[in-house]
Amino acid sequence: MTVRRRPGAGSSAPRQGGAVERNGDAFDQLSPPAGRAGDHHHPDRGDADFHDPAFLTRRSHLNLCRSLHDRRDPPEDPRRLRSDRSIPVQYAKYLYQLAQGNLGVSISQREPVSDVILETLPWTLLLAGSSLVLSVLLAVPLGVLAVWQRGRSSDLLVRATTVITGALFVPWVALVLMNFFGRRLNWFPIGGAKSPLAEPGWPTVVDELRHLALPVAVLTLTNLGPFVLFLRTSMVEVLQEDYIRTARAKGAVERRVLLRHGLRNALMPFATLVGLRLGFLVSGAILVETVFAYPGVGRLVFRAVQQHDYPVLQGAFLMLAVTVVGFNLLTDLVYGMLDPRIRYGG
Amino acid sequence: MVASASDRLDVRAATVADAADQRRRTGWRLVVSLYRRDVLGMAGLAILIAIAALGILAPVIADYPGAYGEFEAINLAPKRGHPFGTDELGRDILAQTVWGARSSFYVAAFATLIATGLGIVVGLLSGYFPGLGGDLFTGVIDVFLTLPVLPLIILLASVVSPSLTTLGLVIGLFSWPATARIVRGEAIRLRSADFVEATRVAGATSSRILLRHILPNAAPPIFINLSFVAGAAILAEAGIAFLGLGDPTNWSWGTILSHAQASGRFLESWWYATFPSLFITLTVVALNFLGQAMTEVLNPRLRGR
Repeated sequence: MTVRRRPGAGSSAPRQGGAVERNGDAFDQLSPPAGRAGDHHHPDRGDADFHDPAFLTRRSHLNLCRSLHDRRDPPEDPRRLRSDRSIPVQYAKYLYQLAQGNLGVSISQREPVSDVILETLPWTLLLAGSSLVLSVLLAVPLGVLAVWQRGRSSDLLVRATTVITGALFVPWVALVLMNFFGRRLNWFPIGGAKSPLAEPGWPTVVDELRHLALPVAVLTLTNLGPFVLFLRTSMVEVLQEDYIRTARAKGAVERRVLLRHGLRNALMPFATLVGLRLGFLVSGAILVETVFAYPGVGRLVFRAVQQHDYPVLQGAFLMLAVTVVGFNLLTDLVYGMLDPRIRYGG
Repeated sequence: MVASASDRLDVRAATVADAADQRRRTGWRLVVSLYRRDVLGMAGLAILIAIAALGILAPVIADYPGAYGEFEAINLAPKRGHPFGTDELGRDILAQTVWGARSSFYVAAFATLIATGLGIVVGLLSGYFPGLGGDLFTGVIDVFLTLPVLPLIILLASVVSPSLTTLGLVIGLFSWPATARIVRGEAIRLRSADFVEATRVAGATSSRILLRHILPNAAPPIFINLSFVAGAAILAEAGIAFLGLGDPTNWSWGTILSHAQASGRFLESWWYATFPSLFITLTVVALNFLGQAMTEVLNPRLRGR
């Protein structure tokens, strides 16, 4: 998707009127062409460009800036965007500011993007992290049960359940749990992440855990399937190895064969999966957070999409990508600890 | 393929040209007969056919749900005449659901087509060519496999003009990595297979080896993966439409749920969301059963286990 540059469009346009060159402050990566502030009949607003996302994104910037500028766009407003520069220059400036930890300023909230994201990231990490831990805690016994009872009814039940839970539609599961546990039984709150009036200390912790319960339940239920199936498959494969026959031959009881020899060796590929699934959990968190009004990154992304708050979107994707890559690295390190045959750095 | 004694006799009796044909048909018949024995696979197929039939017969079952329904039938719980109930504007939810099946199936089919095509191309390129080029594509696959794609889909869906086709395109553009990984594995396995080496020695070009020899041999896992990709696409479409980024001019299952959420009666009127969700789940479960049955049938190593 290339940004088409036509005469009169974007940065190649000759400056009309007295273009005020502002001092290059920290936020000058994208800003409206100053001389065309009130120009509503812009040559690049033809419908022919409508399906070009990159162009549209940039055009939305322009429109937005223009409307901001109509309200006198004070030069000290940190939300000023400088889209009069060419795309490579904008990108270079973006990278330069990124290296300094500057992600720009949220259009809708007038706060630095890094602050907005750091406010929400802990909640998503709490949600996805708890779900990941809970998934592992549930998947190991279920997977072992399925292998132990392989081909019998409990195995089939576990497998059928995982297929069905993986096919559930997240908002609907949320609806059912909200209705039952939130409204009918009144055990858990049905939205938000904390009560404003909780006392500090233990009451706050309990309150936040109660808010966490339903979102984590939904996220875990709908994402559990791959964990169980993967563990089951890798255990079945491990159980065909020669050393399992050796273990049986030397007279180890079935429980020891399954847990010490089977499970321990099957856990290694499983650990890789756990790291890889984090990305999926974060994806699923968007729907969960939106339904439960949980103040995490997913809900932030959704609202930024609605408000066309591109600096926030850009920053949020970067943070999500960094988090996921970081977790993959962590997984690799854990892998090395689980498997003594693997040593890093020689 | 397992060939019984009588099969072998038949083959020997036929001419050489017929023999290849005969063996192929026996293979297909074998696959079909094995599939028929798989209870879950047959159940999945039946569910899919039933839901597809509802979608095809939508004009017979109900009128296209308009912007407003009947004034007397606002917010009715399921009852005679409105088996799935009605929404806050008096529109029949059964009508929305059967018409929604069309949109959801269309988006899923289109997304699956694109994802599979892209996955095959990227997978072949990354698996067959050694060195930097292949590594580059492998890296691209790895990145897309780990990154959370739903936020990216949502972003792209919010930028393009919402229609069923663009929605399918966007979902397809981010659903190919699983297929690519499978194709890559097959390409690496077959790259050094004896018959491929022989073809190469005989002077076949890379494109001929890829298209005539590697792709047909990689077909069964690609075929199996179709149903899983389609299931994921159904869920992705529903999620995007639920967030209000779907095609506003068409009813899909996600659109119904989005309306249910927007009505503010998401909790009180349980039937708004339950029936379309049930259809989503049934479809995805059926597709998964289909895929699992196909895995068992098409993978000779799993047979008889």
